[in-house]
Amino acid sequence: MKSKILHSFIIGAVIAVVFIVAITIAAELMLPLKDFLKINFYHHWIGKGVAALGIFVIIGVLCLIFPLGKKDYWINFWIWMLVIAAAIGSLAITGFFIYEALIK
Amino acid sequence: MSSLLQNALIWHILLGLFGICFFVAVLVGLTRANKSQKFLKISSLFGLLSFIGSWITGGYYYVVHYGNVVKPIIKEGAYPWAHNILMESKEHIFLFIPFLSAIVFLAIWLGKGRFNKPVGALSFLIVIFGIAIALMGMAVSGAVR
Repeated sequence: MKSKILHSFIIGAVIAVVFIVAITIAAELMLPLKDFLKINFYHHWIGKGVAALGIFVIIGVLCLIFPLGKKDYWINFWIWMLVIAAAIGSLAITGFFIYEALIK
Repeated sequence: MSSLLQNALIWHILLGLFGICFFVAVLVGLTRANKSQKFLKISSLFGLLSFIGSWITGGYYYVVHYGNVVKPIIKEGAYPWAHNILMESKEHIFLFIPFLSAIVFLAIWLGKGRFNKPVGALSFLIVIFGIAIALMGMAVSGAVR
């Protein structure tokens, strides 16, 4: 059970990180989305954080319900995926804001 | 600026620095030949709690004060890129850190030392993000003056 909890929430974290990157860039390109976050969560940053937390918890709990396999190989694989997603995501966010500020 | 906001900013910085130090401790603990699970568990727990605290206090300062008072000064000053690039990147990459910290915490507490390599890489990334965010914060503060 401990391995399954770990496995489930790592997948939740990978999807939460990908979501943060996607909604950050999308909200800058589509102002109605940014306004929606501001209106419903007081500030767009809070909206992104709450939505990412919700995705982390919901995906984690959903993965607990479905069989994932208990092999350590897949837990290792998903932790590495999290490292890669966070590293590429941070570069994508920084690159996007450099492009928006200096090049566009 | 009210004393509540001053305290929020100070605790945001202090807790962020504590979080970096605790994850450096995790990284060092993982590289040792005789790994102490107790040391790793305590360091990862306090690292996670520090970053959650830094998230809440920094978020409060950012939402209540920064956007209304500090951001306009930077955008009309000599270094508008400090907000447009550094602050925008910092605030969004900062959203990753509690999730990454939570996974290091869970992997150490539930994994019994079976995932040391990827957990070490993840801890290293948290430390790099933490240092980068701290440096960006210093540059943004400098741009206000």
